[in-house]
Formats: sequence, C-alpha cells, structure tokens
Amino acid sequence: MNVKPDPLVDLAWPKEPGPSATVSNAIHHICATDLRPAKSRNIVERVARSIALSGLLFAVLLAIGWQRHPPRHAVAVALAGALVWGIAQASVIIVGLGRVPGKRAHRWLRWTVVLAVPLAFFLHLTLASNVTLSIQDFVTAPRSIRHTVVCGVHAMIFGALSIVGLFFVWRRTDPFSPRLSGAVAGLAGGLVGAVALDMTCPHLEAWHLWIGHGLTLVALVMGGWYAGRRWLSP
Amino acid sequence: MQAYVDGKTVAFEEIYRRVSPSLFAFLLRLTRDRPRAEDLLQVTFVKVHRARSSYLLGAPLLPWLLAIARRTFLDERRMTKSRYEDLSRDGKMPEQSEPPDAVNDEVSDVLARALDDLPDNYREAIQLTKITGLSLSEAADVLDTTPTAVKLRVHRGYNMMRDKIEVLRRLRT
Repeated sequence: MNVKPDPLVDLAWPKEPGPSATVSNAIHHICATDLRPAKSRNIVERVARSIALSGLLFAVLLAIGWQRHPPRHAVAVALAGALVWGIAQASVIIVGLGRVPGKRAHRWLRWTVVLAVPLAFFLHLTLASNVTLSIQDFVTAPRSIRHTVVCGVHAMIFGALSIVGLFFVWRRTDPFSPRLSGAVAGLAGGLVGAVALDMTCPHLEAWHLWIGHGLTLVALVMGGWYAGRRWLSP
Repeated sequence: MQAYVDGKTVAFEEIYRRVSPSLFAFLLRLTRDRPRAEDLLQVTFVKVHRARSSYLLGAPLLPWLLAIARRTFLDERRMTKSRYEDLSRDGKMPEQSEPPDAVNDEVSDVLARALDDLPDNYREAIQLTKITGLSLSEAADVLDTTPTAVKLRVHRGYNMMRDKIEVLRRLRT
C-alpha cells in the first residue's frame, strides 16, 4: 500500500516571536508603574451578591404588588411560589455564572438554561391563565391593552434594575463567552420582574400573561445577550 | 495573577515575561502585520490592567489573556472596516506592511507561509493548539466555540497546509 508521507513531520512549528523592547517598555510603563492593589471579589462573593440583590428586588416588587392587589391565593401558596422562584433564580445564577470563566458549565447546558427557563415560564403562564380571548377580543376589550402595557413596563423596570445590578457584580469578568453570560444575567434579572408580577397581577387572561409577563422576560434575555459583549467582557 | 492584583510589580513582570510571546505571536498571526500586532498587544495589556480586579482566581490565565487579545483584534477589525479612509497623514495610501515571512527570519518559510495562507478560523485554531500549546477545550473557550469545532478546524487546516507544503516543496526542488 502506498502510504503518503506527512510533509509536516520534519518541520518545526514557527517559534513565537516576542514584541519589541519599545513596546514592552511602553506596556510596563502603563501597567507596572505606580501599581496599587485592586479590590477583587471571588466567585462565591459574586454569586452571593447576585442572589441577594435579586432577592431584595423581588421582595420589594412583591411588597408593592401585594399592597395594591392582595394575594389572590392563600399566603402559604404565595410563599410556596416565592420559594419555587428562589430555587429557580439561584439555579440559573449558579449554573450560568457560578464557576470561573473557562471552567463554567458546558456551553450546551448554559444554552439549555437560557432557552428552557423562558419556555417553562411560558408554559406556566399558559397553565395559570383562566381564559383565552381571541386576539381581536383581547385588543378591543376595555383596558386590556392598558393593563398589559402597565404590567410589561413594571416587569421591564424591575427586570432592568436587577440586570444592571447583576452586570455590575459580574462586569469585565468573562472574556470567553460574554454574550451567553449576558443572556444568563438577563434571564436572572428578567425572572425577578416577571415572576413577581405574575404573583401579584390579578389578570389571568392568556394574551395578557403571554405579552405583558412572558415577552418581557424574552426581551430582557435578548437585551442581556446584546449588552453582555459590552459590559461583561474586559 | 493574585500577586499582580495585590499590586506587586514583580508579579506583573513575571506574567508579562511568560505570556507576552504567546500573545504577540497570536496577534501577529491574526493581523500579519507587526506594528498592528504590537498596537493590539498594548491595548490588550491596558484592558488586562483595567480588568485585573475582575479576574476570577482559578480561571486559566493564558486562555483568559488570549480571549481578551482576540476580542481586541475583532473590535479593531470592526472599527477599521467602518472607517471611510485609511490614509497616512500626508494623504497618501499607506505603504504595504511587512509580509509575515520577513517578520521572523527564524521560522520555517514553508510552514509559516502555509499557515498564513489558511483562512482565519483555521489559522487561529492551529496557532492556539499547535504553537501556543492550549488544549482543545482551552482553545474552544478562547475562540468562543466548542472543542469539536476546534478539532475540526485544526484537522481541515492541517490538511490544507499539507497540500500547500507539498506544492511549495515541489516548487523549491
């Protein structure tokens, strides 16, 4: 059998050239002159801060919502809902951001979280709705659009506040996949607004829930994806 | 890296001594232009310096730095593409930059030329795995893709190089 010889075998790979002395001196001048200690936080601190921040905003939104519309179910059921949210929120943060960049969970797992959690939330909204109007009835029903916009704006504002906080905690930490990390932060932030609103909003019409509660979560995930490149990459 | 974050100059010098050849070679292979690679190296280190407090202890250092260098290159390329003109100060077209073969006299001409002729994604995959010495998963992190994709790129690039080298060898003999 005629075996084709590998022409790369006897060739050495190119040696790595170094930068010129001028460039090295310039870099040393910038980076090593008057070097002061920088305050850094480890991964556990950042995860803890993320969860605490999300929890605080969630509690504030829940308190505001329950002041205007008292819980539609028994308090125990509402608290169980909050517990489920807490577990989901902590899981998203721990799986998506909870290890150092370069050693994080597999890309497919993080993508699964980013895609599956909003889908699960939509499924929950569908099951929670007690009536589904036709789209025409929904548009023409008195004040339905207004209520949907108000819910959407509230979810957006609190979600965005949470995202800003999360981006601040994780800023410049991930040069490897900042967009995906941004989407995870967007999801974690979006869950704060969307779930808290879901627990306090008295409207249970399906279109209202899908648009006013669900779409805001999707929008915030996409916003996190776009902003991640700018804010999470060094 | 922790010592550098703590403000120890010696630690920065040690990091620079260890990683600057790899970073510079990577940038040079991406840009094929020594002055541009040196500019990007400076920008990369400025970013590293600014973000040193954000470095999470335990993250692989060389891939972390290479990923920053790569993003710096991509940003610079995007900005260059959106510029209307690329003239020198006297209004003339800039002179051609040095070909990479002349940049480093020591490297094998044949191999360097074959490597430079590869498409960008194959070239950077081979540079990171074969020359810089990263593992497939580390290279995948730097290139923001999967290890399988890196393996495929290296394999395809390797085949293309093999063909080119054979042609170049025949021409020489």
